[in-house]
Amino acid sequence: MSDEQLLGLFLGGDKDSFNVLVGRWEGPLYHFAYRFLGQHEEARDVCQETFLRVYRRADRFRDGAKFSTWLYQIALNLCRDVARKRKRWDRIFVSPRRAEAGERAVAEPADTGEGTEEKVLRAWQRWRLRHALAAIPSDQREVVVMKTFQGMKFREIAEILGCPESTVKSRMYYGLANLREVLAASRGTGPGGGRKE
Amino acid sequence: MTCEEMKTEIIGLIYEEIDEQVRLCVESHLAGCGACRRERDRLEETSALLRGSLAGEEEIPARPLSRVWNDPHVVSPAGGPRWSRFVIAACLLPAASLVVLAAGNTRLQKDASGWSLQFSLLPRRETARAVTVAEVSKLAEEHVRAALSQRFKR
Repeated sequence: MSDEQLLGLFLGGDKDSFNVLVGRWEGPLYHFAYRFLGQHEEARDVCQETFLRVYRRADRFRDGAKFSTWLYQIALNLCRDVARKRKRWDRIFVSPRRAEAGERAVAEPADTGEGTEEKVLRAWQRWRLRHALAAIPSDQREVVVMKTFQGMKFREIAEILGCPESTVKSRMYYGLANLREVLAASRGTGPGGGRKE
Repeated sequence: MTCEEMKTEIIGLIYEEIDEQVRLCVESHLAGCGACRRERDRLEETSALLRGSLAGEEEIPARPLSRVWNDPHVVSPAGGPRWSRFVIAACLLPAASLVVLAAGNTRLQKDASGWSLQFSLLPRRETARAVTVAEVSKLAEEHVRAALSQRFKR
């Protein structure tokens, strides 16, 4: 049964349909939020709030629209809110020294007891990629995340973002180009580097 | 097709989301343009690196909310409003109202015996005003939200 049909049943009073939708989408949605925010706690909150909003606003779902597009639109807006708040928070509370310590903690996993050289290298590689993703402009990061990790079509991404498909492809291009630059810079002297707009 | 136009089309080519006619144009351009070929290779490499390194991260749970939503003891949105929510809200609302009222009427005073903190549950005459329905609703909503988020926390 399609998502839209399930939502229709839910609106008709079949509460179990909502649970089916949650079961179907909680994983992809959580991955989506985690890629944006990089923190499990925040990703879970966003995921939870997204489903709560769907629950409360199910009657506002437009006929003919795609459920997943609507779901991702809600989640994306919530992720943007969290990122915006976090930026303000960081400006006030995180000193450069603390940020540096935090980065080291990520780069050097706590479970060194069972860590092999390979494991450490993989963790380091992941850290570099996460750092690079965080360093590129947010509009490019959104597209890169949706394309690479959610496996969406450019057409779907364009629908979620409400912009032309060519704009999405252009953001993808600059996103990948910027990632490459940031990764190249982090290989030598540490994270950072120029940005293409 | 110019090298600038190629930027978005190369992306379409890499992810195989490109019209057949455009693909032929792009491939024809690539055959004669070394700079664009190198750009395509670099983009492909970065894209593969991203997919390979982050796609299989084991630390992301497959069903992060399943425990929360499937647990019969946890408030389920699919179950609709339950009495427990209203009971919690009904208990918290008067208590919170009293705290807010008292906080609003706390006054630090200095007299002959020194400093003293005074508060009253009754509104001060100069600031007394009717509490609006909107304020009460907002307070109730905040407490329902707080109660819900407590339940959703692992």
